[in-house]
Amino acid sequence: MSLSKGYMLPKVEKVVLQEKIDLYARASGDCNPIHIDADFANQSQFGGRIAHGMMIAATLSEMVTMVFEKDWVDTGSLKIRFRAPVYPGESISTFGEVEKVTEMDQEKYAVMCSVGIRRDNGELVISGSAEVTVSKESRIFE
Amino acid sequence: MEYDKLTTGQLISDRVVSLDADRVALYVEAVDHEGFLLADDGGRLVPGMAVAAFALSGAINDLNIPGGTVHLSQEIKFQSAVEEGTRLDCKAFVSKNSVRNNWRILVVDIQAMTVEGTSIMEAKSTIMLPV
Repeated sequence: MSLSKGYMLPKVEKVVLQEKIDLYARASGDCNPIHIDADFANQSQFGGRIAHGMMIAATLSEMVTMVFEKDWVDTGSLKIRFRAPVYPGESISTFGEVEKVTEMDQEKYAVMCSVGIRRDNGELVISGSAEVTVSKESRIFE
Repeated sequence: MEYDKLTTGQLISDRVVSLDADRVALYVEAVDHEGFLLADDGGRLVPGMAVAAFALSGAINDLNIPGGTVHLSQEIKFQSAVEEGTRLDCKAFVSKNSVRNNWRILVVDIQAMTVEGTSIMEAKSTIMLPV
């Protein structure tokens, strides 16, 4: 692979399940009833339980990790907006594209990507950008 | 919690979060994440978003956020990979507190460092609470 402007990051697809939302609540400690209490959520503006935004965003990070690996967790930054809720049973898929590769110094590049997640009907649920610092010797520039 | 009295710069959460292998495994199962990155010594690295999620939830719980709170946006800056078993000192501060159209908009800055002082992550969370 040779990373440059226009490079499309690999798509990651998931089906969001209520059992996974419940697990995420336990793991993260975020037990907002909007995610796990059907009675509460049914009365809310969302009309039902929804996935944690950070749970959905984790799929974005997975996409970026596939390309940048440890550089992502060492140097990466993410700026995202949660644009629409994701309900259990829905399918989501990520998208990402390299927008800019900038030389930082003799050893490193800064790579900026537009990223996001859509549900099956194409509606945008998350949009934003990801940036990461990568060594010029990285295999992704071969 | 009197949210209208939260002021810019106010420390609202200061917790030690342990990145236990069991908790990380539960997280990985929840997000259907495949595989772990490894450190040079072979130790498993904690997914960056797991660090963010654990640090954020501490702040949310200390703020006693009401049910129905909505997460509007998130910024995260990863500064160093971290292995399972690491203990993090996570602090959260009020960055901004305003009311708009019967909703309170709270912006919270979060810092996560190892207990030895290595910076791991900085984040900014924007949430919307019913007034």
